[in-house]
Amino acid sequence: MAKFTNYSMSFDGVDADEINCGNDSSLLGSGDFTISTWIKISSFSSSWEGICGRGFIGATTGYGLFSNGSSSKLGFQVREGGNVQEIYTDNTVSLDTWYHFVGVRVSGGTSNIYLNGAVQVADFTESYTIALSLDFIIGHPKTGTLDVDGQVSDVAFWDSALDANTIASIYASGTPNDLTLAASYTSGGGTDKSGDLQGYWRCGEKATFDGSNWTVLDQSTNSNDGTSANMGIDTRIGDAPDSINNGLTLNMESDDRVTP
Amino acid sequence: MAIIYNPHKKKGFFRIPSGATQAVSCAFSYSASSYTTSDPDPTPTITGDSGGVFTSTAGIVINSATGEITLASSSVASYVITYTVRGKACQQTVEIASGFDNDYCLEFDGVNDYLICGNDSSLVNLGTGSTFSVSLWFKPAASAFTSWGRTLASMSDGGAGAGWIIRFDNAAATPTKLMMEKAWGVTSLEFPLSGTHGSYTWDITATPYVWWNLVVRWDEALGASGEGTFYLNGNDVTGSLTCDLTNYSGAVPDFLIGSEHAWTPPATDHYWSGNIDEVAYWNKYLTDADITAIYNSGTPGDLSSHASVANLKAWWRMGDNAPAYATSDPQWLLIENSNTV
Repeated sequence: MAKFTNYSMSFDGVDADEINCGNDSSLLGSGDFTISTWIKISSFSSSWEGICGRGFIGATTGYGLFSNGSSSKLGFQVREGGNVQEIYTDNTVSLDTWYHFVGVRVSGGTSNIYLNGAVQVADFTESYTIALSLDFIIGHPKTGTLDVDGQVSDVAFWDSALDANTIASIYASGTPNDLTLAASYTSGGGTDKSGDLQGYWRCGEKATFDGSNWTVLDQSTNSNDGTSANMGIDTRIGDAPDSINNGLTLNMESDDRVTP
Repeated sequence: MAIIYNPHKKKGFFRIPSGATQAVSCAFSYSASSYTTSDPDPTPTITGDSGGVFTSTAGIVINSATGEITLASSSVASYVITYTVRGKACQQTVEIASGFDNDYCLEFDGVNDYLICGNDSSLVNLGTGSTFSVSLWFKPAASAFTSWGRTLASMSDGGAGAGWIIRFDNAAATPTKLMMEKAWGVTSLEFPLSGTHGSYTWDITATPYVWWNLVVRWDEALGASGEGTFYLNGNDVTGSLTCDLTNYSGAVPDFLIGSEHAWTPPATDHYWSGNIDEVAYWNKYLTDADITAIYNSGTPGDLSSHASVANLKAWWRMGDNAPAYATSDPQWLLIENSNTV
């Protein structure tokens, strides 16, 4: 059986590689929300590296998932200007290893993070007002700095707080599945949240390249397609969680697939 | 026509209740009751009311709005598909069976076309005691015989001098040999494009656009520094000969199909001209029986049922079993199939 996800996007960590998914209100995050990604870190810098989110790691307002090079951990941050709440994974993460990382924000309640389907010890509580309209970006937190060096696949955003069983279901023991399908949420005893899916960028799959930039389709019911910057055609690679050695053609046309 | 509820068979005119609604129909049907995982994805025809939801049990990948089944991503089993519209449900049973078709290959232009397939450690078997084999089908275009260096597959770090390259020779403008090199210009194993070995005679150059099955196997432990053998259409065309290959000492290069890395990777060079199909990498010195089974009397077969499938580390079908979205916009996405079929 073919695996669902076989490709990812690679970010080099040096020249502001990014996929900008816009600032639509569906991604605002003013109330409860969940943000999820598969991430494979190639190297840590000495500070923070933004993975995905909007208006985070900086004197702005927003939320996001990131890695921290000084601690070698993954983190989740919600902030309202200088007021910040952030939590980290229990343990360090290894380089060149795929992880499923999820941040769940409960406005006014207890927010948590999950690594490979397991809730982490740290949590926080806040009631920040998140109202700014900074872009949702994959690859770094804001223009030009703090880039992630690694691969990213299957980024998703829901406007509700997913529970532990639901997150374990979508983790699916390390194999990404289709988040538009109800079964992906319920297979491990979770609750179908496909209707709350507001953004879903599979990154490698269904992306197109115009010769300069990638368009990464939003595969939720919204149309917040991402547009890359500083990313060449070689940044889509055939390596994804639980799937390796997948092929990609270079310089070939649609009519180069022929009958033997 | 409205249906009026009249249980006592009274005669006369009746007033249709103001709340009466038209009957709901959930009728739908797929074009067949059985599909294979390599068939085109089917979408049912809804002859009843639209706007309903398709559901089924775990294992099938189905679009809840259209009912389209993603066959390649679904498990082999029998499923009951349910279409529910405004509280009324209809069902159809659909069987999904394992299928193997070889409907596609890739055609390389000899100018700059190639395929990049990653550099995972599962593709690196060059150290002490290591063995590996590469199998593929190729069909040279006429231009493959008029320029040297046409590459079928490679995993070479260019000028650093490690890895392997399977290509036509680079000794003349008109190639006369098919060789495995361990580095640029350092031949490790070769055989003539036309010749005789034992009772088998071949001539690759006689007619272009003809398919050939090629297998090369290598064992580091044989001989003084490793030995290898080329097989063409299931026939040994070299015998086991000294084949000295060097393991990578730095960054592992990508596995390429239709090209090789130039002196300084990731630049590429020496592009194949013609077609390539069913490329497989095995971490085994394949036996004669293994190779005979791959050749399969000239018909590419399902390697997922090959006797040495446990050693099949990568299998690129070159167009078959590709996701529905795997068009060339701008790249063909050719998933690795060794553990996915």
